[in-house]
Amino acid sequence: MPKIFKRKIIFFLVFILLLGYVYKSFITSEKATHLSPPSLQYWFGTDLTGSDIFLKSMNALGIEILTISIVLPAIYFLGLFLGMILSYFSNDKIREFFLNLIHYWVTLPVLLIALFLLILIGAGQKNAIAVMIFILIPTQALYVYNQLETIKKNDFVIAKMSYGLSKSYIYIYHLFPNVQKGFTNYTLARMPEILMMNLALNFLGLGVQPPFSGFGRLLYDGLSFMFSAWWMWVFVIILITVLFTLVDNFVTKK
Amino acid sequence: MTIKRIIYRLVFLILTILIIPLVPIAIIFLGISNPEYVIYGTLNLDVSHRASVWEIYTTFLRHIILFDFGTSTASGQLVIIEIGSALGESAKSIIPALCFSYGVGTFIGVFIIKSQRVENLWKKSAFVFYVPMIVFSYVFLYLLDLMGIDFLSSIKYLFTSLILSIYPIYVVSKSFSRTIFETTRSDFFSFHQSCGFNKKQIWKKFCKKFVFIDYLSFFENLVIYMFGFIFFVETPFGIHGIGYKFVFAIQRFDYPVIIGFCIFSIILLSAIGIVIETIKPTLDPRAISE
Repeated sequence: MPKIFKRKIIFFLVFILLLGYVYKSFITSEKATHLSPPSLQYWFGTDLTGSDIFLKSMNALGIEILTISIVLPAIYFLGLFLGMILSYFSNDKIREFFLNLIHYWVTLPVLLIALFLLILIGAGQKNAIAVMIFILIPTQALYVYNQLETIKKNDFVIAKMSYGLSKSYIYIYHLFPNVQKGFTNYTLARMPEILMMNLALNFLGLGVQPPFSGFGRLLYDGLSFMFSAWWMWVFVIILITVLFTLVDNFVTKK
Repeated sequence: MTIKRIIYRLVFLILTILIIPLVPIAIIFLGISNPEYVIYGTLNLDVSHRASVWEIYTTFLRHIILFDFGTSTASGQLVIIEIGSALGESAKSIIPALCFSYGVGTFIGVFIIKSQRVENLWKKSAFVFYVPMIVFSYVFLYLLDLMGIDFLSSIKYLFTSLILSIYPIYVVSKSFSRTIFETTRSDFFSFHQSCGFNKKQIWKKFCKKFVFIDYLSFFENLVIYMFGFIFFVETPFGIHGIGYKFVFAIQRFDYPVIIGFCIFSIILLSAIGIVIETIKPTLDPRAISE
């Protein structure tokens, strides 16, 4: 059997196993002895309330996967739509205004804006996801807009226009396919940013609320037990490092 | 063009200040939160919850313009004083971190250009820079304790600066090596070489400026990055700066401090951006010719 094929099977099996644990983490609520160190029964030990840290970590992983799988498609489609609208209807004045607005938005501390909005609408993962989508869309739209403006100058577009094809037809069937690949890669490259933002929001307690857990929340809980119960944060940190490295590898390869 | 951009930025900063008070109003009228929670619970405004939209808007706007965010419900101190003292404390980590990023980043950048082996090693170890800084905070804190070093002494500022500068070092070194690479292969460079200047003279007279302009262009982003994620280092190390106080305020539901910090930071960072945008054209000969 080829080596790459074998590796893929191993990755798939590990993924299925992890998914199983993620599912278990959502349905199990049994409590054990509080602050017990790692053992065969509780691989990552237990926390102050007696909850299994391994299951909590799997729960956090599930939440991260869920967040990514909601935020990425949302910013992809909304960014694409906005960018195309901006490019389709823009005249020079509107273009200048919106480009400057988006450039200004890029220079704003988006995390602080997210926090401000979350404080006003209330904490919770649903709200955190909504806020993340809201603050990430402008840069997505800017990317699509810039790409479209570059492609629009190509000779093939002028040729298509001279055939008498409508503007919307050219946008959908000729410009969009040219933007699609680059934009998909650009959106995927934002995965670490989304993970980081989610980590920060959870660390501040504005994301996932109990009984569910996020990596940020687990780290914050582990801080009080930094020296007395190392297992409360060491495994979480290892998981975060592995997650970020895997995501980074995936993004770089793409 | 650049003047237009500065004007736009100023206009948008004013618009931001004008739009921020509209956010709670929108939240009330869209039914996302109830009026009492927003007006008294979070914004701490001295108006009735049955007050008109205009009254809520102008009251909140007045508070923002005067930087009057009320008093902290946890410490009883004026929020603006609390922000000031926290900023002073955070500056002890942020300023060395910025110096460290530019210094070490440039140093590494020079090595990347000079040696292919260093460049390969740098590329292979790039994943380290994508690891969140909180991971480093926890690991460093634990190791310091393990080695018997008192992490509550002034050494904590050194470590927080170090952790804060990990990703910026990567950005600076990458940008430095790219600028040098592109400039030495540009027509501009070959033109000056053909005029009889040697490489050293060209760098000293013309190209040094390009690196500086490049550094200046992402200075704002580095400050935003450090400002935004500073709680990841201040909370574990117990430095009473903006990050620590922000986390503390969220845990205590101290809304005046939270709102004050957010609005103050947004205005401050926008102002830094405008200052940089104003300085840049005076240094960049290409911008002047535009």
